[in-house]
Amino acid sequence: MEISKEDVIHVAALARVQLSDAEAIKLQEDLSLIFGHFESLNEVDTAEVNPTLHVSGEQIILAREDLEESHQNLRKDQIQRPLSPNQVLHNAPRIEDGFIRIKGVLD
Amino acid sequence: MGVSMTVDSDIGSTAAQHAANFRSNAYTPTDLFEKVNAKITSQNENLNAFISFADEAALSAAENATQRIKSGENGALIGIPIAVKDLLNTAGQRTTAGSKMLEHFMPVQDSTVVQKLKDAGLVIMGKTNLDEFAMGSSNEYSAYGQVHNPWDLSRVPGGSSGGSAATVAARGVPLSIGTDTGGSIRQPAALCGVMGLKPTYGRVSRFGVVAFASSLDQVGPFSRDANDMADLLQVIAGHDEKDSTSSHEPVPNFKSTFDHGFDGVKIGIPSELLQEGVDDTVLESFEHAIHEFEASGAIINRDISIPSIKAALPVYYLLAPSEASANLARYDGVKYGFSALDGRNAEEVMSASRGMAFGPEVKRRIMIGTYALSAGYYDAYYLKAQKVRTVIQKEFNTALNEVDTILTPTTPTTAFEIGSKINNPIEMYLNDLFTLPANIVGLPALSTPCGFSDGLPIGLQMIGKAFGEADLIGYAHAYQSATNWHEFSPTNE
Repeated sequence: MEISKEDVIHVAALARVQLSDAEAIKLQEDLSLIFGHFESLNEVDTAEVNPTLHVSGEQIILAREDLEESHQNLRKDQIQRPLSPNQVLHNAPRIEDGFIRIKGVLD
Repeated sequence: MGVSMTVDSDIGSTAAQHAANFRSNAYTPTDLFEKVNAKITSQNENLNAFISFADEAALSAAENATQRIKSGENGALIGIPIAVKDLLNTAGQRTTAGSKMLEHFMPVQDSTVVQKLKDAGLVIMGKTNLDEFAMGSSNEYSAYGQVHNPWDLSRVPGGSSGGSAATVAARGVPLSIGTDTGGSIRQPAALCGVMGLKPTYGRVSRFGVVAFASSLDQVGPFSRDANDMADLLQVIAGHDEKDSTSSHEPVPNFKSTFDHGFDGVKIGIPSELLQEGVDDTVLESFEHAIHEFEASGAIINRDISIPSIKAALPVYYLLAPSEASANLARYDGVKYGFSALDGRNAEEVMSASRGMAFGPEVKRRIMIGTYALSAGYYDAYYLKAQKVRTVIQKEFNTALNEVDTILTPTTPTTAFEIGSKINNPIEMYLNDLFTLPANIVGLPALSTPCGFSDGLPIGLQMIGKAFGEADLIGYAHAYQSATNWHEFSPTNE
């Protein structure tokens, strides 16, 4: 399987990962090799097979009144104390007046 | 074995031995904290197993444990030192995920597992080194330097939980916590000669664990023997309302199987998996272990078949990067983590931040995942892999209807030289051949030491039925009662 350098640059843009020229060349090689190996999946017949949605087959059961609490996967819909603004902003790279400051979204 | 039972002679003991020594007043958790702290700090010059060490809060925890012991509390792990993979959030203690992206990240909350450890009285001695975002099999992809294998410092400890395995092997701490997405607990356990367990998917909460591949990730314990492993799993297992994928399955007593032995236990060997690429010395130790089980009354079935098992490798290397590419989208240089700060607009800052702070393996996997999920390729790759996953799961279920456990070597080789596979991703990925299937099908699997080759440990893997951890730990306990492979310690202690 041949993946072009243009493919690599396009996918890097989708993933929002800036690559150097050397990185793009190396990834072109690696991805061609790795996706080549994926071709072997076609040897497994999956014509009548459903894709796995959850590995244990357990349903994610939302809060429902007719079900016992022990079988529900979501916590009760009760107001809980949220994180404080200070906690939320604690790790932000750049804050100003209680807001996160970023560069413009539009040029 | 410390005949005199002092903290100096017994510093490398198992958790159970420490617990007994606390109760006989040989030393206190506070004494042990000081000694272990000094030992792992000094060992780190050679091993680089830790990214950060215990803080003031850990000393307070040790002092608190000393009081709890004094007041007669019975908890098996009160005051026991433990190391935690630096992928689990620790409130007020830096959590890096082995990445430059989170170099200064300070969690405001504990992960559920860390909270449970603290409640049970364990003392967190530090955060262990790992491949960046848990992506790797050799620990060569940490932004904080390579972890070295205590059995041979020129070799890898395995990965991604390499630091957690190395410090238990070097008898720095008796217990540690790792995570396993494709073998990241079992493979380093095997290469470092300790025990490691990946529980059933959903057995342990993932809340507060830096996400890699959410349908495959699972937190689990490292220890030196089955007894300690049962005690640690007992602490961390169970449903968590903060993780809706954690299971409501009742948590059994993980030692309830300790007197079962092997009589009548049906063991399956998937022979098709052992035909190529496995070192002779690894196979030899594996066969010795099988004979041991047979001699103890187990029934060996070499005819079980999982015909599609070889597809596990491509399935894994599609699903894990696809999920990773979505999970790692959150690192945008805005809310937390590294930010390049400068750029013409928000998008440029984001791309530059990710380009500068992610290492080569993380970028490679984000690229694989983004490509596989991109328009026009979804059906051919991601959907196909999820279908093959269903096929593999059905084959495992069929096999596990015939046998109680499936045995394989944990890894095809012993620990390899640092640098020997770094330039060949496919060869590196092949190292996970035996461990990946359990993640794909969500089953529990453990690795326990079963021999040595040229002074390097070899691991035996046991895969069990869903939520059958007690059975697996029971088998390991019986095996360890009949052999002493788990008792050897490296010279680089």
